[in-house]
Amino acid sequence: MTQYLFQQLVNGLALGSLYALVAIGFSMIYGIVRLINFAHGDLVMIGAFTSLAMVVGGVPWPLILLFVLVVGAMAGVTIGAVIFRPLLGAPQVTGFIATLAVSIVIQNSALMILTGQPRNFLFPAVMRERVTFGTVQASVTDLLIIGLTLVLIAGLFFVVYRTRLGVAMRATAENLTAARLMGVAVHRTILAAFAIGSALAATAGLLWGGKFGQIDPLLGFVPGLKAFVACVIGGVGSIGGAMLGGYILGLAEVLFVGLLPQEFSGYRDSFVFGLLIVILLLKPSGLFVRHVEERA
Amino acid sequence: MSKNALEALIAPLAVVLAAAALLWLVLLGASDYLVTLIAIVLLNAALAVSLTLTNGFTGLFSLGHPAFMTIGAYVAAILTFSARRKPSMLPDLPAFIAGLELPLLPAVAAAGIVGALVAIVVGFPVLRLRGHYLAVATLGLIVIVQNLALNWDGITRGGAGLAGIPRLASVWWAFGLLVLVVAVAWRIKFSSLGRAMLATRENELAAECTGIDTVKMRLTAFVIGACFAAMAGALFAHLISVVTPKSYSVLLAFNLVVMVVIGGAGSIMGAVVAAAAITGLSEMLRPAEESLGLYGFSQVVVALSLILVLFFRPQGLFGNREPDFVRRLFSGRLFK
Amino acid sequence: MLEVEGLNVWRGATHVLKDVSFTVAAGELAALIGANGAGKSTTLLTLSGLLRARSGSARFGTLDLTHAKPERIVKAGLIHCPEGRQIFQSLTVAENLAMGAYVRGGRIAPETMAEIHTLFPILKEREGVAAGTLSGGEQMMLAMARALIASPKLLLLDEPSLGLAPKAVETIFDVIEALKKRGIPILLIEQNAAMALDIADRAYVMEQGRIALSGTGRELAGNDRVRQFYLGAT
Repeated sequence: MTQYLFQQLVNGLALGSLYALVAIGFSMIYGIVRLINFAHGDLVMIGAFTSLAMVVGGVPWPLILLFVLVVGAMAGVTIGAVIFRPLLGAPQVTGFIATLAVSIVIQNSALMILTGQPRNFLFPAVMRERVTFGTVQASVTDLLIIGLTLVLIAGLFFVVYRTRLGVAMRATAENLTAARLMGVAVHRTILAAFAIGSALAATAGLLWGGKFGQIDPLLGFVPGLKAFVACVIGGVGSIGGAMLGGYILGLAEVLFVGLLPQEFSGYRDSFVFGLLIVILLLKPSGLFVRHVEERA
Repeated sequence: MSKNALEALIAPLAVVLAAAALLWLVLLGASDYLVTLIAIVLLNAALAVSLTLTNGFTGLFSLGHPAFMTIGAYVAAILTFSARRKPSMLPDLPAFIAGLELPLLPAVAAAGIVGALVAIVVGFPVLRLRGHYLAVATLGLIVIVQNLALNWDGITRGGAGLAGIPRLASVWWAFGLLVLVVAVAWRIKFSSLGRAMLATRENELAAECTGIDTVKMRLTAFVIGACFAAMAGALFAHLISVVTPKSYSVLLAFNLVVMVVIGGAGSIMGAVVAAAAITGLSEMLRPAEESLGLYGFSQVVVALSLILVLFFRPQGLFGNREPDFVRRLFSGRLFK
Repeated sequence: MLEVEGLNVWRGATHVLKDVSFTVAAGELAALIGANGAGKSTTLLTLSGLLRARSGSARFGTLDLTHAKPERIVKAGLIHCPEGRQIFQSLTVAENLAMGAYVRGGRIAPETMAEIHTLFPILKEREGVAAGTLSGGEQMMLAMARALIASPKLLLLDEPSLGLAPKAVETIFDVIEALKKRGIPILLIEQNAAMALDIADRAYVMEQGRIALSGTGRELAGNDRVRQFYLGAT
């Protein structure tokens, strides 16, 4: 029983880590441009296929990680530049219709290039081993996902709370005009937020492929949506909230499947989005945000 | 009914009859493929108009139409399905439904009602919040509905879907639904309710200050749109005789949004025109897509055209207006 | 130092600034007074590069303000302390101050900090708290401190006394006078015309987007029209 519970816990934390990585970027971008970026989930797919291409090309794993971060950042900057600059000052709805269109372009371009056929994605053999702690075991992949996510989040928090760029990002998110008056080049700061958030999502794609073993051009849709749910749980726009929301969602999902009888496990996604609607009903500002921040 | 009200009905009625006559003429020489294509164009137009009613009139952003279509399709199909085969195919149906075998009209009505009820349940919590929550919550609704349809085997036959639905609908049913949707949308738009909805969209605070219950306006628009979407889904299922959990996807929601944006959010005629144009365009690109093996190509074209419209003509074809010509046509003052 | 010549600015379809010309000389405190909607804030936003002029020129030293990017203008030392304080509420007091030094790498020299703390002792006490929790007067002091840390060569102050308690207004004006004594040129917008004219070397009255009157602070304070409309004399 301990082994079972422990495994569920590790599994939930690993899944939650992936959600958190995607949700944080989603929340950063929302926080700074008040824009729901529907294309954010597709960066997971881009990260996964970038990794696969390099695995096939025989690139060593640490380099792959670095490369995925860079590719994700570049893709994010491109999305930000394409969408955000021309639409600055347009109604919010216009902005997210545009991100939705970008998402459709990315998904269907990927379908054209890669076809809809799922492809196998394999971590090195060592990752499929299991480590034993006393009486319990966990998979190396899950532990790597949890550990790497913590490292990335620590790095992110350092950037956001301890560097000049991070302070400027938070200042811009709160008051764009005042930030400009302080001499912040806000366009560059906004694109930096796109870059950082997207790099995290692309890394989630690398890990996603490793955990589930198969990838296809449409794989970004569900993590993108779940990242939004995670953001709503934690309060949209807050980085810490998005992270906690991701972990809560991952654990809740795994517990839902693990503790209920087998025949309910197919209803997992219904559970997640039902949870979204319940939270929106009861606590629309999220579980961890004290004030409701609403801007139309 | 007063004499004036009767007179006001004559012109629109004449327009509908003329359109019906035109459709009849076109159908005379049409191949089966063309007839089906026309039916799909008409249903897409009805869907686009119902979405412009939801999104365009009140400034909401719902992506939920495919969810309501799926609900409508399953509800109607279950009601019209052969009572002989139902108990063995769909063992979990309650006995009183299993014994039913309804004609299409009540089945479509039932679909509309169930769609509207679901919209009330979902809309109530979500519509108090800003637009983007609704967008994502309705995307979530699509996932929930597909997920339920996939897993609730005893009522939906799971991933295989319901096949062999009686082919009760025809191009004329699609035409009828389009007329109904346009008539309702038109009546709403040029009434005090429509003006209240528009006020909600333009300036929520100001609208509330003049005593408009903006939440009620949004909910009304959302529920009416959902009701029509469910009815359209029901007709689709009885036109092509099949519905699966994946029949109506997020991609469809996106394409409907494209139609609304390109037509001009809030423009009824814009939605009709754009629906015909986009459906026609995708259909024209399909042979190229299939011969080159570039699946996804037509969708990329549609999405890129949307981005171009957003950048260069964000108000769409007609803004939220109706072309003068059409307004005069419907009011019987074409030559004045 | 600052020379504005024939400036025309539109906001949407409205012609807000009409042929506005004025100057602020080195070491001088200039006041810009006028009714709500006269175009005072628009003037400052144009000088900071946030709004673009349709015609006319604005030069700060050798820098053409009508075409320079806002960040370039800040770097050149033209610092705008905006109306309504506009501090970053979710950032700490220290982080707000660091934003003042943003264009110079975000680092504040210890002696600058010491100076700020002498001018505004309260900010030292509140260093680590979120700026949104400060009182209105404290927030205004933070906003001014943030502007000073940018080491202004010309300081634009937009309605520093707006919405403050009388005591806080006095403190703010004391600080403005102290800055003037140090020779920092200031362009001050104030609805409290009496206090502004009292300390101004030069003053301009703006009416419906035009400079209607100009003179020394004392001259304008003695002007009948100014007395009637802006100083509330009967």
